[in-house]
Amino acid sequence: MATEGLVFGPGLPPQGERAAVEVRAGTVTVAFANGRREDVPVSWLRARAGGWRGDALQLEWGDATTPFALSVSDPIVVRAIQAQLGSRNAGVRVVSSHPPRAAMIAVLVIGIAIAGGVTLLAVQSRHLVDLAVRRIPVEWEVRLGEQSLPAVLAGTKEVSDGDAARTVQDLGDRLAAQVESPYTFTWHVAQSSQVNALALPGGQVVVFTGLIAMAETPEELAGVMAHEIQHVVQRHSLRAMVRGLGFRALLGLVLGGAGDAGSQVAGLVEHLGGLRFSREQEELADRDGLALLQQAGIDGKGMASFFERLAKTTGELPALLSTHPASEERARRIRAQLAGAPVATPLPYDWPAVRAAASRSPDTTQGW
Amino acid sequence: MASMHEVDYKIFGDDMQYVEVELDPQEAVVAEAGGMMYMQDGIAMETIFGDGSASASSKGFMGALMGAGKRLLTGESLFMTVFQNASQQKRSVAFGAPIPGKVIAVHLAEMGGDLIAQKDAFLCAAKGVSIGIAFQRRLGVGLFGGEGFIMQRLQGDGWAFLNACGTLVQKDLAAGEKLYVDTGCLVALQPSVNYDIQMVRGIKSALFGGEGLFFATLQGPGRVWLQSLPFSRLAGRIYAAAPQRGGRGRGEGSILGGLGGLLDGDNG
Repeated sequence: MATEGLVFGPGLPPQGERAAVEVRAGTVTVAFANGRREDVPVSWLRARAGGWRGDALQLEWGDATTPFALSVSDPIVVRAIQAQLGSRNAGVRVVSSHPPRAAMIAVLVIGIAIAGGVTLLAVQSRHLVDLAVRRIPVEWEVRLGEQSLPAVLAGTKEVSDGDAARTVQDLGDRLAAQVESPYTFTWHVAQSSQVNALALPGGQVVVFTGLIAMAETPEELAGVMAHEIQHVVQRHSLRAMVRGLGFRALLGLVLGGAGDAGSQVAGLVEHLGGLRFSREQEELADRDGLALLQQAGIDGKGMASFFERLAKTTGELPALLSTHPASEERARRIRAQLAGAPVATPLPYDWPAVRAAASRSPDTTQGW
Repeated sequence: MASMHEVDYKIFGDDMQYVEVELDPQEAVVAEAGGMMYMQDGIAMETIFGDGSASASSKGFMGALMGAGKRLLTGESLFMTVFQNASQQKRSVAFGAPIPGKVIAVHLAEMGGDLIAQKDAFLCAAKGVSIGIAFQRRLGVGLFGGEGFIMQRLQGDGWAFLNACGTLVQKDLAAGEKLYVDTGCLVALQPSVNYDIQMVRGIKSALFGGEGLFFATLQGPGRVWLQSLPFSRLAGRIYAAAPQRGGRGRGEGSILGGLGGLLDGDNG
């Protein structure tokens, strides 16, 4: 019969020392971590109820003024020792250490109620978000995007001219020309080593220089941009924002003057590393983005090769990856969709210059 | 224990203190949601259900549910926040005590790995320390002990930080040594200390002594922590002096009363 207990007494620290306690016929053996062992005959022991709630057995031995003391709370060991103490145990009543059943049940019921509430909310929120998103007019969406842009760009520097910004603008116009939607796309290039791009509701799209620097061809960049355009057009960004902020905060943001909605967006962006989309949304954006590329006469293989390379990147996970489906699988799906597509003419940009411009810009991102 | 995070810390301030915890890369601390004062760049915050200790997750789903129910019962938030150093350098994060008083650091391994504290005492702890609930089983202590039936149980081998109101004192009781304590002044104790309630003798001192009808009896062996000012006592004084209660503007001993208030400038 063995347990652990705290031993107090002369030569031991005032807050006690942990020791292994073993009970055998006639002796209680106390073994400290440093190898010291004490065999205490049961006949030496004085017992009383102890512990902060009276459910431990306190044993004392040695001289009466500065005794050694051992506090044992394991109910099985307590009972074993009590059995050996026999008549000297009379009057020592150790409180049962099983919590009252009613308390256990109450605690469990509350726990289940919480879990049920959380599950219900999770299931319902999807429908609620759908309902809310359908009722938001496009003008609101555009305003929402504009209002939350500063929060997204916070901590980075926007690049407004140079090869990188010009190329993104040009590519963006080329792709947007093929899209029939009520949105006007505004392209922003932000200095950051993050391999990421972000689509805000209403057509504000931010491309980080880290992404441009990682793309090996302009087609690869175009692939990501087409993907982001689809997030806007299919209102994925709006949906993500409604889900992240709640409808009321969103309303405040649109109508202006609601103090902390802006900081909430900042919090959302910082904590989630951008807006999170579901796997289906990502797949839709891939599929329709690829169709958009082909419509614009851009080779879709860039999209596939970019994701393949992302998948190979080991070490620090690029931000784009963390929320997106497994990149290899995506690339495979894109390649399947590409099969039999006509060969497109390469894009007419001086890509090495663009990449150099993107990687030259110093990183000013505030890491979180 | 490998799962316990060893943190370095420094306590600042005199009577309203805060603790700054220095984290090596990948080290983490847990705190009640809302306790953070500041943190350096590179520390990642994550809100978790429960306390993030291994023991909480190994109990499975039912364990998590029980934990949630218990935390709700104590009036605590269901969630805790983990602050992890995600950078490659040492980084600090600080937690401020929500009440005027002292912050103390307790190394749980030195205490035998187990500490019982009053409900609001917990400030933060190294990740790996389990922050659970323990129910008092003695009816008398539960009803009249000042803490109710529910106390916090900190288990593990790392640093834990407690805060208490007023001055905090640590006392070591030898085996059998007794200490009588006002029920509101107990902050924490080692589980080996026997904690019971005793009624004040002589009804006169109970009625006029202002100490209440009961006090706590602590009997060694073990270490106990006491606070000089139970927060409820401070709150009572503040409430009594609050303007809504007719305590407006009158400095201690001032006979000017309302007139003096004209000159104060803090009347808005």
